Amino acid sequence: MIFDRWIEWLPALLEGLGVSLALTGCVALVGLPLGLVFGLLSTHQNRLMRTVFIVFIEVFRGIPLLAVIYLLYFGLPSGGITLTAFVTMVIAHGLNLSAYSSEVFRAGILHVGPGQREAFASLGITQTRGFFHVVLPQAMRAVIGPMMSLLIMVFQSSSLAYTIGVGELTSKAFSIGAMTFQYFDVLALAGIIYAVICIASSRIASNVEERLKTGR
Amino acid sequence: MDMTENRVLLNANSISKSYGANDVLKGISLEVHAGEVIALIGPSGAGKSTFLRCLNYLERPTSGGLTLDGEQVFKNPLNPSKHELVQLRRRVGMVFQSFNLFPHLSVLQNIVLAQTLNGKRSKQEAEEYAMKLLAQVGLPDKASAKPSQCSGGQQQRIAIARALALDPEIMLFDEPTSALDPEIADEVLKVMRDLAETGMTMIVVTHEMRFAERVADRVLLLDRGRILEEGSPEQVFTNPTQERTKTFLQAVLNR
Repeated sequence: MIFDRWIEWLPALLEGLGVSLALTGCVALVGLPLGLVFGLLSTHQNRLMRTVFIVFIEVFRGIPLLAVIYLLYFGLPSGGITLTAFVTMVIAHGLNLSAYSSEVFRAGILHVGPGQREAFASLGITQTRGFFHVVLPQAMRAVIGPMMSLLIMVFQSSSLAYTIGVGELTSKAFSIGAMTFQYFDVLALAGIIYAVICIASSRIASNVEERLKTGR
Repeated sequence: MDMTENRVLLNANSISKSYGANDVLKGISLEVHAGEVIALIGPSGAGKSTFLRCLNYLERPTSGGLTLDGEQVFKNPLNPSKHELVQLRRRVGMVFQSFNLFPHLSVLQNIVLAQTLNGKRSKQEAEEYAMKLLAQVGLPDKASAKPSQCSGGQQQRIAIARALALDPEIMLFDEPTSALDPEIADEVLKVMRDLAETGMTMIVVTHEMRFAERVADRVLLLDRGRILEEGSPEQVFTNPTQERTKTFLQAVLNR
């Protein structure tokens, strides 16, 4: 029975899932703050500053993630820099996420209208304080939905780490497949695990979004 | 009751504002005495709101200067420092046509925020003061509500409390009731009338001629970037000197 084998494989796959989730978490920790900074700088008043960061964002959105992973993992050692597979993945994917999330943050910041900025300015609140206490909290509420979809995509594409040997979910499933030749069965189970996590997260995300909306 | 003192609180000296070739304000000068209530009236596009917004530099005048309580507000009015701007705005309160409350904060937090961020009061003092102001505008039970749970008239009263929380020396009102139904507008106008009676110095851009007539000490009629008519409400409303004033008043009063 397939279910018996699934139960047998489950501990190894859950271990892989742990690595996938840890990877996603680390990528988010790198990519989201960077994305916020890039998003801010791409709306900067200074035109040169704005252009530099818009170009940076476009380039990183243009290069396929796998190419960046290979560039860092196989290319950097020839320059004398060797990174572990996990760290390579966090940097490559983090930069990729920063480029995509910067667009979302930018939209969120622009979504807060000029009336709000005038309101805090007229109260003698400085630009910086007003940004952190008035603009950013509202921008965050506006972007929470799109940001969760982005993180779900990060979780899914964390499977690319398999190509450089990080022991995450896909890679665990693949090695079980290689040992048992039951590729279909084990990859199907891995697929179900991915799907369960993604569906659960997007349900939680829309719940949070809904709650924030009614709280307004 | 006239609360006006002789002291000149705010002096706007020949304020001009141009957008490219479009001269919106053509050198408006105004002395505002402490405790005085001034109504700015006039047809739309006359520059009333622009002039008001020049008084707290939300709009930067092309030329002209400001004096507050006898002191120059800016060393160089054409290039004000951030510090000077912040200092001016802490002394000059503003209420907007569209309220502009902070939607992510509770009503109480809306009134507390600037007090604590500007280091004016501790959190606890700020909250106590906010509650006092909410009672003053008749909304003590709305403290924990979100702005979206309040009616337009309530939101505007909260916005007034928010501006008052910094103990401004002068309050600017930019068409505070234009976004409200007439019966709702009355509750806001009542709060403003009460405020005027406390001796607050106020400049109000308004289309409410009855409010201007009853509450203002002085009425200014702006037209095409200039002061066309100026005087006590009686003078302006019953005995205007300019033909253009008569046409404008007829148009608004017969509406």
